[in-house]
Amino acid sequence: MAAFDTTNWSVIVRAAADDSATAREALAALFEVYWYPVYAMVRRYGHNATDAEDLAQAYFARLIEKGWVKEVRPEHGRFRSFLLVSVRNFLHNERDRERAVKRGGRTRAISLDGAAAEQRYALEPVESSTPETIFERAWANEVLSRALERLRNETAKTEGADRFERLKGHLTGDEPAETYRELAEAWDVGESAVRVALHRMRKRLGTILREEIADTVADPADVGEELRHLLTTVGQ
Amino acid sequence: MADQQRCARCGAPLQPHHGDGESCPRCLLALGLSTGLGSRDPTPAASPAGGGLAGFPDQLGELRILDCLGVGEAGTVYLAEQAPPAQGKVALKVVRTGLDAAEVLDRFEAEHEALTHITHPGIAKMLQTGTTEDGRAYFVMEWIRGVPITEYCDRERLTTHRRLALFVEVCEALHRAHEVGVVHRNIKPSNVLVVEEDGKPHPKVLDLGIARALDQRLTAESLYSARSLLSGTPCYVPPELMDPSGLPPEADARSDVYSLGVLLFELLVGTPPFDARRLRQAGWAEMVRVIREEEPAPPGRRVRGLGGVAATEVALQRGTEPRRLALELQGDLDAIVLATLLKDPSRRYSSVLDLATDVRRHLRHEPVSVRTLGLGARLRRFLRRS
Repeated sequence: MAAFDTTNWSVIVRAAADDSATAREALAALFEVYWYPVYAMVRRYGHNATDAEDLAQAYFARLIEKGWVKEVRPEHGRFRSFLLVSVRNFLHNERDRERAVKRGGRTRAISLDGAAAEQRYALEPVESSTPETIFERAWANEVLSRALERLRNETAKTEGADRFERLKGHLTGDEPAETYRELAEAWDVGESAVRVALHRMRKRLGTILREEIADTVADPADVGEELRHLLTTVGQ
Repeated sequence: MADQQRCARCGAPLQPHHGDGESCPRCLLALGLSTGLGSRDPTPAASPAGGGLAGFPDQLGELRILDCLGVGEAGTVYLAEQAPPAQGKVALKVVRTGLDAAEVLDRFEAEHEALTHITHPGIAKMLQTGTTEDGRAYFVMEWIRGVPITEYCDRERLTTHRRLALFVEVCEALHRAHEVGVVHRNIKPSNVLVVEEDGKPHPKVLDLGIARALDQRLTAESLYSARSLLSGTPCYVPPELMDPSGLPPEADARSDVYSLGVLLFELLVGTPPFDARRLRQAGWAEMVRVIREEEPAPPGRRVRGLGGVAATEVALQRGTEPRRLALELQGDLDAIVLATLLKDPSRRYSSVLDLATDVRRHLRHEPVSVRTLGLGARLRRFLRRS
């Protein structure tokens, strides 16, 4: 995604003032990427699966209609914070589901996979989480899984699919030395080559993570801070 | 929470559906942080034993090095394993090149001597010191499997009250060190980690005595380096130690009071008193001027000034709403924080204990020493207590 500047939050924030079609399309693309956290939050607020999907569509329709994006000031320029707060406000003001549906819930402005979202939601530790913590954690996991997916595709292209699959469990380090030996034997290379490959993969994941996050903040200088925030939210 | 599965490395709780072979999401995300640091880092990570692959050494003396935990302005911190029979994991801090190891360890000896006389659950133990083959000083410390206090409080969405209770514990640990004459000089969130024991959070202060041993001169060179800017350290440096005219005076307990005040500010409001990004962009001279001359806004006003999205986010992390958070802060807490951040050390709390006492008083709804209270406020307190 990082390659397409149009799906970048900073571009959207700048373009939103003109309410251009480009801005709307870009917003739709970014919302589709990060809609699961919204879905999970809405579900945790007590709406059933169908309503949650409808409300997400309705929220998005309103976002476009009302030009809410324009309210984002540069100092609050993170897509995550913006969505969290504006979806909450939307839900508070939109208690009546019928009203939500009438206002655009059935228009299906964007394509969302409700069934897949519900499958994921079934795994959330719902009892111990508030709607906001579910949203935050799902967001961080979304960023991470997108980054891992990119790393998987890249590694498959350059070094074969096996490389990623067998090294992914060691990306965080702290593994027993035996594992390196096993891998070295399997690939018929030296143990040091395995460590170097792993080191490269770790560095690359770090870079990809920062690129993904850069797409969701208005100012590239905020990437580090946003990353720190995501760190606090995973595993809540 | 006590029986929840946790990451063996960072201690973050893992989700119930977390698979055995899967990596911890927090550790994976943290890779982004080290990449950010590395790409702007002028010197490569230290490699104490030499011969390590990809900047990652294998062994230092009896210690087997397992991982690089981070690169800071003073050097590199590794996770290491002790050889049998001691066993167990430790943190190994290898000081960067350019500092004379003998001098560093000499300076540390006096501090270490003092510290060996105290054991405090809130202070990470120093286990061993030494010199690498290539002449760098190193410190072996108790490995604290925790997260920075600010991160912990946000992650757990602790209320202001619970944040203050944790902060008091930090003060108590530091006071113990002050009693034996050791000043920290480098209080910041990454040096105050929180661990959970029996489901309860406990802060642990790291790196006591190290800042002085490294004789970290607070000069443009050391403070304005890419690393310290990224880690946000300048925000925590007391104004008296940022003397542009020459060598700053020796730090005393009141310098730690200031840095603790910055920590308290960040715990309460989510950001340090001076905007980190502004300081980063300001240039050295302007940064010194801001820290030495500008009066920070009181925490309550800072929250009110955040506006919409940001204020809601900060309040949510404290389990409340923006207006209520601002009300909680204004008055006592504003006064306590501002009294720690005074530019003139002699006007601050004279000891960390005095600061802790005032915070404790506030938690018990008793009058705090830094505020001259009007009759109305006293009456309200009296009624609340009785």
